[in-house]
Amino acid sequence: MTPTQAFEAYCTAFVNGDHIAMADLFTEDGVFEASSIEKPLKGKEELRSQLRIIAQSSKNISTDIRVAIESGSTGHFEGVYEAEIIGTGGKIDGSPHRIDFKFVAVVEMQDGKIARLTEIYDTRPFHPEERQRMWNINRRTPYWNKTVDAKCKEWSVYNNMHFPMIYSRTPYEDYCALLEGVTLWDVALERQTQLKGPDAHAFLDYLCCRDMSLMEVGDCRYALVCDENGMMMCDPVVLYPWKDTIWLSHGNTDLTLWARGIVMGSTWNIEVSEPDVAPLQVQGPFALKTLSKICPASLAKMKNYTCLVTQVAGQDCVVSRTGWSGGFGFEVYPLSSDRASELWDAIMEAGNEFGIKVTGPVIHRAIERGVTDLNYYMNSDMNAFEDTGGKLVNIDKPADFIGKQALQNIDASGVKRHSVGLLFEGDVPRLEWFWEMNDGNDCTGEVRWAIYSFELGQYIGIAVVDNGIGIGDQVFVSHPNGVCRAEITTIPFVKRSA
Amino acid sequence: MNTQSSDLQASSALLNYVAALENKDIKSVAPLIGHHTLVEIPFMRPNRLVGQPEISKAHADIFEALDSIDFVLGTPLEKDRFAIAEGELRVQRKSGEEYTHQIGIVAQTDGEILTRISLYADARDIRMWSDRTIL
Repeated sequence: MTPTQAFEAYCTAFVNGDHIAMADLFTEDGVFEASSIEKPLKGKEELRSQLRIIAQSSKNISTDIRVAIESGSTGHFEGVYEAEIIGTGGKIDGSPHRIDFKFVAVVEMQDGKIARLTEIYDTRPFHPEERQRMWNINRRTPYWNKTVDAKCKEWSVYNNMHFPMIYSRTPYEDYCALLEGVTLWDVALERQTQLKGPDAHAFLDYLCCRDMSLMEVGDCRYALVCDENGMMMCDPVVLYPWKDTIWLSHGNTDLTLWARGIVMGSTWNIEVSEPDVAPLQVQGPFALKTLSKICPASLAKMKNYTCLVTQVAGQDCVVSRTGWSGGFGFEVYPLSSDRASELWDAIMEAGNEFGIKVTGPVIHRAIERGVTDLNYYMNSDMNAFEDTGGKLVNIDKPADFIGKQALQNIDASGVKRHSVGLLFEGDVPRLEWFWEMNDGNDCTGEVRWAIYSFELGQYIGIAVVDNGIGIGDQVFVSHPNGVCRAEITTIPFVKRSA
Repeated sequence: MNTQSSDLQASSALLNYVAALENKDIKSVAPLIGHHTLVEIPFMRPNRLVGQPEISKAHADIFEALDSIDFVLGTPLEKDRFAIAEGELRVQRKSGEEYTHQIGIVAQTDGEILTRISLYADARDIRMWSDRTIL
């Protein structure tokens, strides 16, 4: 095979998404390097696994070799690559995010196979020119510099902190890193509402509509916090790391202020505070091997939704078997952010041999697994039954709790809405705010999440809908680019990974 | 390297252009450029410069911004009116920052004139070689 024949075959296989054929063109220790990959790929095994991710990150791929020059075992090529990125939701104007670029490629052959393929191109056309600029109104996490170094491009705001969301890879690359490797997320914006004192456990039970009375030190629980009207405020993961000390690791709500306000002037014998604890999520099948290198605790023995106090990289931490991935992973809660950078570096170094990648929340997987909530907020007018179907509401628990009477009344009069999954027909844009939907008659609902499912190969969503809308029904969803049909289904959308 | 005598012009033009950049010699660039020459440089905005006025203006800005420009190129391969080379480009801005880029470079010629020179490199997160847009 000549260099030109080999490169043409490579391009054809790429267009067809045939990573096996692509890898088979290389010698056993063949090397592939390209401007958009972080380090060269070497050997058939790595080529197969990584070329699959690269090729399947996009669709409608085309290549055009415009200049081909070869001399002996070397070929130089100039050409054009065009494709659409899968799973971004597209641009505001409705057009897809594209990867279009001209390239120079160099092929070196050995015994009829590719020994080296180098592709050189400018990646700016498919990345933002620069990262999002920030304002000082919100807080940085202690890992800010690390996330910038890792090429975070887009942040959200969460608990008055900048939330690193999107880095400089395709959604499918991040998705594969989570399902097949190990990922590090800056989730320092998950703030801890700390309850400390003799009444900590009882007060926790008073805050949450789930029965928390059986929690013991070392337990974690997923819980709901409602206001006095039974309306959702947040869905914290509760950690019980020490006797008389409880953390509610909460979502985007001023939970600490809420709890402090309740305690203030009351007889509850506790202190409520927000400690300087900035958690990290280490998620993915290699999370255990990564953390075990720098943590003396028996992490392998930890059950799901448990926590322990230990050291990670020599720093005092709480480690929990929790996360927002719908799969295997840990959260690391350092007891001080003074050495946050050192902790970050230690985890990255430990995960290096497993190809650790810094990502934001992999929403694609979280929605597939249904680990997320309905995206509520204060005054979002959603009660606790609507979010979970009542699974986390124990209205008959002995202890009083905030919203108990209201939730009992709602239960008695009949819950009017429920949470469902959606299977969209065709592409939908990124959900920037909730979308209205209806069944073509009188029943309505609100889409609160929408994302592309790589496992199902279509866009999916989560909505709260009138009880008149049930599984298998067809509905119409109005989004910024038009109206599309969707089928109602159950959550989760997919099973947990092996 | 293909050494047929009739095919030497493109690689010679490529190397002459590279030498002119390394020497920061605008006078050496000018004779290579025709009225319709296209120069593609990812570190310029726009990255496609057409004709002598744009190209001269751009190179004046490049030489103003950069303290040094050094290419380390492999032997160009040449066919018909095209030559392609790969290598490294090392630049130092006058403000002190140094960058090394993996590059490809393509030259297309018509007689003694470059009809196109295309520099391939990843310019992501790199400050452009000129702060202004070349118009």
